[in-house]
Parts: sequence; structure tokens; C-alpha cells
Amino acid sequence: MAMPMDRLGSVIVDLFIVLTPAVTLFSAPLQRLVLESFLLGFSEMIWLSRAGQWLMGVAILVVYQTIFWRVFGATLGQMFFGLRVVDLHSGARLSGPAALLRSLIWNAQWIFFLGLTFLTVFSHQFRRSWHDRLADSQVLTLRQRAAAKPSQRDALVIQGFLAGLAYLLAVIVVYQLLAAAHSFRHGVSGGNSGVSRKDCEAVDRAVADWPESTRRLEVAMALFAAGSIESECLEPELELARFERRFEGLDYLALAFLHADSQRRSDAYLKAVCSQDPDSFACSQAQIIRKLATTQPLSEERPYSKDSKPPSLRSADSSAPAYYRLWALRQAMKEEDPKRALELIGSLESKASLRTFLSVEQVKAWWALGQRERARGRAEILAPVMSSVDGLDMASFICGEDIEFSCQRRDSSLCQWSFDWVSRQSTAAQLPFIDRLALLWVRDSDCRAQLGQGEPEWMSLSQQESLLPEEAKTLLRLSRYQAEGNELKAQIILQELVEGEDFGLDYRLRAFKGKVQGSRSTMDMAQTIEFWRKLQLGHQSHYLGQVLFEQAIELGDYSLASEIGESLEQRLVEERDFQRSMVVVSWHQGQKKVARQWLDRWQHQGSSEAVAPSRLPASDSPKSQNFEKSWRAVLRQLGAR
Amino acid sequence: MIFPFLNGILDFRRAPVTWLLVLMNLTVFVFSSGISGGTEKKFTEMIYEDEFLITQGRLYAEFLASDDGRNLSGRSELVQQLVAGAREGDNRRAKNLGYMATRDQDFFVWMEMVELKGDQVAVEIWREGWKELHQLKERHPSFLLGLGSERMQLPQWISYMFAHGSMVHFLGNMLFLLIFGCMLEPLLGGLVLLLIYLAAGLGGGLLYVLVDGPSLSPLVGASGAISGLVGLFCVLYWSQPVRYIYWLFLPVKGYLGFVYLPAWVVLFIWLVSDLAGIWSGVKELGGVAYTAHLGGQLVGLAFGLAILLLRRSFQVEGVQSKLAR
Repeated sequence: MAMPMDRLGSVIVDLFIVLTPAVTLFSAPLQRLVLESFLLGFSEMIWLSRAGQWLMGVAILVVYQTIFWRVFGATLGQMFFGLRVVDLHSGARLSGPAALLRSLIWNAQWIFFLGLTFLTVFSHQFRRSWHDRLADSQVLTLRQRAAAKPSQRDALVIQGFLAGLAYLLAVIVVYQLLAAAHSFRHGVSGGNSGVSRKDCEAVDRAVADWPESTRRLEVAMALFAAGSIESECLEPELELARFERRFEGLDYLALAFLHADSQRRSDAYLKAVCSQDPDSFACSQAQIIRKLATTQPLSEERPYSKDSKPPSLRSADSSAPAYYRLWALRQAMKEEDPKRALELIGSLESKASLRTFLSVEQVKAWWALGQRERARGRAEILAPVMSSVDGLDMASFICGEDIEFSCQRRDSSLCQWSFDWVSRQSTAAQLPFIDRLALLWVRDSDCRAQLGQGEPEWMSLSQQESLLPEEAKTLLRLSRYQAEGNELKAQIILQELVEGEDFGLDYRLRAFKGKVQGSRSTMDMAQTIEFWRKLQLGHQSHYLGQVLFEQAIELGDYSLASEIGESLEQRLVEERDFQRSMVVVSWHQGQKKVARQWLDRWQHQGSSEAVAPSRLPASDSPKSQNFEKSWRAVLRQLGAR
Repeated sequence: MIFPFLNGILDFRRAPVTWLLVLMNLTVFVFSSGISGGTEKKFTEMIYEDEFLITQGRLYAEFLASDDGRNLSGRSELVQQLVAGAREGDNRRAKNLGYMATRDQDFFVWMEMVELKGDQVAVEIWREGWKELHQLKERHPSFLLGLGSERMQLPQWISYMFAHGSMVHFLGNMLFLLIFGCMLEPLLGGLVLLLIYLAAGLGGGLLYVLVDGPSLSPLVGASGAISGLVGLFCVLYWSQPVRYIYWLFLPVKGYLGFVYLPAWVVLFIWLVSDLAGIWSGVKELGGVAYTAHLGGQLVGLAFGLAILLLRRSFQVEGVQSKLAR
């Protein structure tokens, strides 16, 4: 019988040396098809072409194997290794159909079972695999070195392995079928269309609100100004691949928004707006945007003639395009001119597609004008039917304002409805909501304090810990998060505190300590380590370093501890605590000699007598359990009595 | 793993011209790596920036669709579909078209003359970028030495063979040059070898220019000339056995040894891989210039046949007996 290794060798020679030229040649057109499909973006075709390539390879292999087995009794690879494929009973070459069958089964084993079933060559007593058994063939060798029957143990091992694989395969197949059935029923959205396609449908819907003569781009710009669509949706309206149309100022303005991430391009586009249409609303908007973006005075650039000027923000009346009025509305709210804002809102009310945005701004404007009841009434109706983000915007605005207002009126009733609304949203675990909730809490306790209804929590905290009010309020938020078990938010606040330059140093150091000691891994500590490295504050740096050092040991990261220890060494070399830690750290770093040195130093530190290593002198405080365990283990290893 | 067994053939004294050619290639390579260092990086950065490519693609689509589609009708189906997609706003197709544009001389000539409307800012930015690229090119060795549509005089037809695109390109070519050159030179003499080498290079370049069209991105590499040597070798040694060393995974006893294969096997494999390369590639994208290989090979084959005929007709000491020594 043939050696399995020889058979494997013959396969390798066949596949990689003999057949490769043929396969590459015949599958070349399919390869080209793959490339073309890739360039054209036809992803389905790519898969089909690749599958086609595979099939072509298999077909060539089948033809090759069948012919050679029939005519020569061996493929070229097998001839090279001195093997022959013969019929089991007669010992002659295989007949045509038998050879074909053998080849097909051989290939099937690769395709469906990844070739694992070939392992039966190692278990079957005559070293015949499935293709041999089904085609009644046997592989013999013409060489001296032949294979013996496989041992009982080998056979059992292989059979068991294959049986196990069969079960695993069955399980996987069943699972995949179930999953496919499930997704089929529930209609999984296939399709690889870009995100923007769907979201940009808002433009199609909105066009109905505008008079026929309005450009689609203008409608899209209005929606963009109202925040209903992303800037990507402006692109289809611009027809950028066409160069026959003269671009107006509005086109360039849209392009400026589209390329907002590139300073160079957006600036070039904004300039172009005014060179194209100097008297237009678009130019006015472009100039103001540029002025806001840089500190260049407007007069520096005067692309328009001296006699005419672009319209100012003031002139955004009903003749101005909708997008311009919306933008003017935003500016009005920013500049705290609610009357103007309401005028503009009024002029745009007829557009159904802008309703959500306009309603929210209206509520805010009424509130700013003092028409609180009106505002609150409208908000209560609107918030539940809006999208969560818009609704939250509105509710927390109202609630915050309510708290301020009721405080000034010496009436501490919290705006219950919106507060409930916000809390309900926050229990759905949406982080930005929780933030708002915490802020509202702080404002509320502030208010209560002002009304003499007990001290706000932050005030007592501020006095106890000698913190500034801002610091205390932040700490209050932190404690809220920790009480709610919101680890993530708590860590974020801690990080803000550590890095925030507005807070007092003591406070930051405390926060630092809290963050380090709360860390469960040195990855958690990573940012704080960065902070420590940047901090060049003399003794503070050492204090922080020590905290990091201890925690690193606690977490078992001895290389980090060693690194920190090195920088602390000079300062702390005579501290017993530090010396003990260094014994443990250097031991774990494999530096036995160094560990011994530290131990000696500790034993003789500060007293005339040497201290026995297993006994802690009274001056030393015991550390954590983990550490003490390590300490004892290291002592044993060092052979100290 | 299988490899020709090179025992003793790499001797400098036996094949001085081959080694000289290698040295010339090496010199050019070392010099051009020195010069091109910084420019290469900047070049790649610029030419692969998304916005730049997309704009370029859109402009190229415009060019191809212009003149009532005269420029488009001769192009392949692929290009026509890319153009159609780009003009409808498909950025992916536009970008791929942008890659192809870099090889088309006519496009850039057109861009210098045409007046376009549409997004003027993008066109301006592209023009600036293109000017800068052009200046970089003037200093890049591959562009100076290679065979491109802007530079197609006699010097370039020869110098292109000595320039290489990358370390891998260079090393691969040198390896083959050594193997085949060292086997052929003792047989033919250095001068003949040199002549055939250059002729094959010219032939490869010629076929490339005729079939793939001269492109703005130049043709570089000794592959054409070396293919010529391969072709020559296979014809002269046709059924002579060549010794290879092989091993299966690891060099262990039983699976390590020598095997003798006739020389025409190499020709077959070379030819097949070149054809497969030509058929599986997209001409407009460039890449490996298989047509140049093919051209060189044909020249080498022709020379080989000529030599065999000459030897036979003049009854001079045959190749076979010379080989037997």
C-alpha cells in the first residue's frame, strides 16, 4: 500500500505545479470579470465570478484526473512519487466511469468536508478513503517503502475524531437552516445601499410644500438648515458629474457645507459664492459664515461692487428663500432676539416638513418672551410625539427653565411632567439623557437651597471638603451616577476631573486617586498614567506616583510597577513601605539579587537591630491581603527565615 | 518548492556581460531610489487622495462623453459603464475612472484646452494638483527613464529597461537575468547576448505600445528583455534536461532531491502566465505589462530559431555538441 505522505506529495505536485498554469489560463476571463465587477461596484457579480473560478478549477481537475487514471493509471504527481491507482479486484487500470466517479468523490470531499475525510486513509485497514471505496480502487506504490496496516489505536482515534466532526457539522447545518428561516420570516433588510439614500427621502417629500418654481436644492438647503437631513443629501441635488450647467452661488454654498471637513475646500467654495452671485442671499450667508470662522474683518474681501451690498440678516423677510430665513432664525435665537425669531417662524409655518423644528424653536422663543404657560402647554403636547432626541431637547429645556423660574418665584415645585419624561427616557439607558437628569438634579437642589428648603447637597459637601461650588456640583453628579450604578459615566466624570484645568489641584488629586483605585486593570489606568506623566509637580507627582505604584502591584502588573518604582526610587528609597513593595516587584521581574538587596535594606532600615523578614516591625502598617500573600511567598523563595 | 539548481553557473568569468548588465541595473536602481525617496511618497499621497481622484474621474467621464461620444465609442464595455455610472453621480465609479485617467495622454491635452462650467472650484483645485504632480514627475526617475506617451524618443526605448518600479520588481528581474544570462552567455558570447537582450527589450516595448497603447504612466523594467532571454534559452536548449532541486514542505529524506525537466517546460509556463495575465487584467488599469513580456519573448524565440537555422545551414559546430562540453 502506498505511504500516505507520498499520496499527499502527489496531490501537491499535481495542484501546484502541473495544474496551476492550466487553471490560471482558463480562469483568466473569470478573474477579469471579478476585477470588472469590483470596479463597477456589482458586489453580487464578484461572488458569482469567484464561484465560477472555483468551479472551473474543479472541472479542470476532474478532467485531468479522469483521463490520467484511465490512460496511465496515475496522474503526473502520482507518477513522480511512484504510485499507481488500480482496481481493487482485478489489479488493472480503472475504467472510464470508475475513474470519473473517483475523481468526483475526491473533489467532493474537498468542497464539502474541507478534505477532512481523507483522514480515513489513516484509519481504514487498507488505507482506502471514500473515493477509493466508492470507486472500488486502491493506491499502490512501486517503491520499496510501503505502508503497513494502521494500528488499532490509530484507527479508533481517527474514526472517533471524524464521528465527532460529523455531529458538529450536523449541528452547524441545522443551526444555519434555522437562522436562515428566522431571518427570512422576519424580513432582514438586505441591500447595501448607503445610509443617505433613505434619509434623503425627506427632500422628496418636502418638495410638495414649496412652489413649483423652487429648485430642489433650495428645498434641501432648507431641510439642512432645520437639521432634518445631513449634508450628504445635498450632493444628489448638485449633479456634480455634469459640467454643462453654470453653477450659482447657492450651489457653491451647498458645496461648502458638503466639504465642511476640509478647511481649504470649504473656504474656496465660500469665496466662490460671492464671486458668482455677489448680491444674493447666499453670498450674505457665506460672508457671515466666513466671518464667524475666522477673525478677518469683512471689509477685507469685497468681491461685489461698491454700489450694491449683499442683503443683511435683517432683510430676511418673506422674499428671502426659506433656507436663509431658517438660518436667520437660528442666529436670532443665538443672539437672544425671540421677537424676531417668532416673526421668522410665522413666515415659515406653512411648510409641513419644517414643523418639528419650528415648534421647538417656537416654544423656546415664547419662554424667552415670558409667555411661560403658553410655552409649557405646547411643550407638553409636543414632547411625546416627537423623536426622542427632539423631545428630550424640549423637555429638559422647559424643565431647566421651570426650575430657574420657580426658584425666582419662591416656589420650588419641580416641573414634574418633564422631569418624569426625562427620567423615563433615561431608564431606557440612553446616556445623554442620564447626563441631563443629573444636571437637573443639581439645579433643583440649588433651587431648594435658595428657597431655604434645606441646604443643597453640594453646599455641605463644599464646606466639608473645602471645595468650590462648581467642584461640589460635579462631585454631586458623580455620586448620582455611582448611586445609579452607572460605572461608565462615573469614570468619564472622574477623567474630566483629573484632566480639567478649572478645578482645584487637591480636588483633582483626590479624583485621580479615586480613579486609580477603582481601576480593575492597568488598561483602565492607562489614561491616568498619562496624566501622571504629564504632571511635573514635584511632591504631588510623587504622591500620585505612589498611588499608581500600589495599584499596579495590586493588579499584578509588575513591569508597570517596576517602571514607576524606578522613578520614585530616589525620593522614597528610605520608606519602609516602598522597600517592601520593591522586594516583591523586583522578585517578580526576575531580579533576585535586587530583591535581596531591598530586603536587606528593609531589614536594617531605621533601627539598630535587624528585623526578621517574616515579622513586620511595629512601625510598618500591613498592606492588602494580596500583597501580604505575595510578600510571604517571596520571602519563602528568597530563603529568608 | 522547486528551483533550478544553480551550482557553479554564476561564475563571473563565464558570463561577464550578464554581470555587467546586472551591475548597470543596480546602479540605476540605487541612484533612482536616492532621488525618488521623498517625491515617491508625496506623489502617492496626492494621487490617491479621494476628492482628487473623484474629481479627476468626473472630468475624465466628461472628456470621454464629449465630441458626441467619439472618444467613448472605441473604449471597452467596462469603461463605457464606468462613464455612465460616474455621470449619474456614482462616486465609486468616478473614483475608479479617476485611476484610469492617469494613463491617458489625450485627456490631459483636452483638459488644457477645454472650458468647463459646473463646479469651477473643484476643477481649479484639480488643476493645481495636477500641475504639482506634473512638476514632481519631471523629477522622478521612473518618468525620466521610462517609456511613456510624453517621452518616446530613442533614449527612452533603451533606458526603460534599466529602471524598476520597486525592490521586488528589481530583485525578481535580476534573479532571472542571472540564471538565464549565465546559462546563455558561454554558448553565444557576450556581444550576441547583449544584442539580443536589447532587441528583446525593444520588441517588448514595441508590442506594448501597439497593443496597450502608450500611457502617461511609463513602462519600466527589464522584464521584456529578460523574457527574450528566456525564449532564446528555451529554443536553444529545447529538449535538453535542466536540473532542478525540489523538496516537499521540509528538506527531509525521501522528499528532497533533484529532478530533470526539459527546457521547454519553462517556456510553456512563462507563456501561459503571460497570456493569463493579459486575459485576466483590465488594460486601462495598468499594472504588470504582460504584453511587454510577450513581445520580448517573441523576439527571443525568433532569434533562437534564426540561430538554429544558421548553425544548421553553415554546418558549424552544433549547439548540441557545444552543450555536451
